[in-house]
Amino acid sequence: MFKVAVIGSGPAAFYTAQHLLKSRSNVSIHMFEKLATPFGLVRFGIAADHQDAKKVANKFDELATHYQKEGRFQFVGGVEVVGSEDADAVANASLSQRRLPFSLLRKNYDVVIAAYGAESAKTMPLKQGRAVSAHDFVQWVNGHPDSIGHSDMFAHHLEAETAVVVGHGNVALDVARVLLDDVDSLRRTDVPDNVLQVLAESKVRHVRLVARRGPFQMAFTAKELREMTKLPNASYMPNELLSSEPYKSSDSLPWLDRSPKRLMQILHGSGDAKAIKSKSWALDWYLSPHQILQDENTKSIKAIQFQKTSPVSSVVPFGSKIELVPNEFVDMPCGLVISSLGYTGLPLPNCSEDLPFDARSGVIPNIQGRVIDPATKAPIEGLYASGWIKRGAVGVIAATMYDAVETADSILADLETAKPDASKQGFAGIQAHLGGKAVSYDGWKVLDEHERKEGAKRGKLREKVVDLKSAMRIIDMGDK
Amino acid sequence: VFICAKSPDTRTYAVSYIQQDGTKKTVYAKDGWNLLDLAHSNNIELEGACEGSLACSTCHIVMQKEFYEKLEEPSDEENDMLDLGALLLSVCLSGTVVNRFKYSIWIDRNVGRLLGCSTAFTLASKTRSHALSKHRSRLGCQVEMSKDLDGMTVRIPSASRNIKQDKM
Ligand SMILES: Cc1cc2nc3c(=O)[nH]c(=O)nc-3n(C[C@H](O)[C@H](O)[C@H](O)COP(=O)(O)OP(=O)(O)OC[C@H]3O[C@@H](n4cnc5c(N)ncnc54)[C@H](O)[C@@H]3O)c2cc1C
Ligand code: FES
Repeated sequence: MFKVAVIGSGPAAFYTAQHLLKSRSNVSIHMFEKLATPFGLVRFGIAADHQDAKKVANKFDELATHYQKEGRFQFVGGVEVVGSEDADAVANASLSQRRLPFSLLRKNYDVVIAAYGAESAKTMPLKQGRAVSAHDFVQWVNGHPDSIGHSDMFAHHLEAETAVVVGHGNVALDVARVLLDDVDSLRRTDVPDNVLQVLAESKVRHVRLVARRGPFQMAFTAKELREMTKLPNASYMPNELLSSEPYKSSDSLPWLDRSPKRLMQILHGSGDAKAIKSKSWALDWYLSPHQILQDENTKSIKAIQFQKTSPVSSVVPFGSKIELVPNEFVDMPCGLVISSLGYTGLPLPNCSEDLPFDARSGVIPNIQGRVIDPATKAPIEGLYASGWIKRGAVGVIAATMYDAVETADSILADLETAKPDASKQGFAGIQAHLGGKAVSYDGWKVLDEHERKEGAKRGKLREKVVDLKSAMRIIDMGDK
Repeated sequence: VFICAKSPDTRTYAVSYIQQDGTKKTVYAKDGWNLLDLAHSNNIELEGACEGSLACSTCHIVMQKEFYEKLEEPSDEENDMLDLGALLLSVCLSGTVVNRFKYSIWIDRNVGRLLGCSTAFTLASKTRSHALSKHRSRLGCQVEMSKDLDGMTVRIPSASRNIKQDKM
């Protein structure tokens, strides 16, 4: 058997595992996850009103169950993989989250795959004031353990009537939908009860989505944008820029690529001024965030100041590398600013040497998933990357899937000429260092069932156990 | 749950899938079966991450233009999802004209582009329009079998395998 360790248990981890397990019968996989629960952003990122997109977890569940029975798959939850320099922390780790040095994985497994995602929010540089991050907001709505106790903070933020969301990507739309849609549309999903309570009290009525660049640089996918234009309670207020050249008619722009073209068509076809709904949303372009202005007495936010920009070139500004020139400042009144500038990857905690990392692009340097030494560009034997930590934090699940298959194919090709190393002990070699029981897949199923039962009582899909310690307790009681 | 007609005796319509490894498998479908369920009931690997609810585009298939045109236009919702899969079409059909290295950048760029954040890549659009002259993308979960589609061949795109040059 080739012993394979995967770090992370999101879509990249599962799709890479699936391809390996299906293609070869002499591969066995241990999947290490820092949280007690598998599936990464499927559980903690994808919006609660997108339960269809979350169905992919059913596939992962089938896979895990099937190959666990065959003895070739094991989930090792509640174990964070960290750098080897972190040995003290490893020894002192609390029971609810165990830590495992990366070097031990390398020592005990033939193949190690980094698939731990890109979890850090890019921050918005401001001269003054701080924006709420969309990343934190999304984690809170999705009941991520890191968001425990955040409800009071968000209750305060949601007293604002107008919210400005900076960034034109799908996550910005996810945030806008939660702010604008009727909270009742979330009651049957898996949004935690205390979050629903706060959302029900929200005063937010208007959302402006603002971007530094122009309409042709919008990074929305068509599905999500169309969904926004169909919100039952919120009308879209068209921006006049779209009635001017060159944005007026996308049909006259044959070279415009299919995706941006569709986005423009969706916007041109929406915005019904007659149907005034109780809430509204708008899009703004060519505004670069400068500072947040607060009321001197109450310290509450009263506006965000932008610097207007305009494209340098007089030809139609298309492509991501458009050059902008700064112009005058404008204030946009609002009571809440949320920054949604995307995600970026980080190195494993305290792991500087064993696993190369390209800090500039926030990814592990690799060629087709083979991790390379940044100096020599040569692949490092037995070490691979997959998903957002390999490619950067862009792309939906389908893209992550194709990406994972590429990595799996590289591994399969390398295994053709390799032999399993008898000195690699696999899980037996690290068990002693874990200092206790990790969460098994059966353990997760105990928690899963608990959450579904609690959900059923409330007429919803599940009630998530947000606190990691409580999760561990429930698992320990049920998983004997 | 669909029970598949395995023998040609009970066959109604024939569909051939060109699978990800390039091999062709012919199966038989009844009226109204969709191409995702048909594939699954015949052990043909076609991902369908959202179980046919138009939320993932992982059931992307490539049809011959002549059969595509017998169908009604895809809905706006399907077209939205196809945006994501469309670039993969060109990747899959022109894997033979670009070498592995370029091909991989190409996927990277285009995958980045799924979120609209990358620059135009001329090779991609050239080969794409070439590919589009003969083929069309659909989502397998949205295409239902009917008499009109009897005898058609569809291709399941593969993002990273060495593509064999076989005709469909
Ligand atoms: C807010 C948001 C909404 C999205 N909505 C959609 C959508 O509607 N539809 C869609 O198709 N795609 C959506 N996506 C994209 C999709 O989530 C990604 O394509 C996909 O999750 C990337 O997979 P991954 O496995 O690389 O990373 P992740 O899903 O982030 O998985 C990484 C896993 O690694 C674990 N981990 C991290 N560090 C360690 C460590 N040191 N040790 C052990 N484990 C660790 C994490 O806890 C996590 O479980 C969304 C993304 C975001 C951010
Ligand atoms: S299975 Fe998800 S779109 Fe067809």
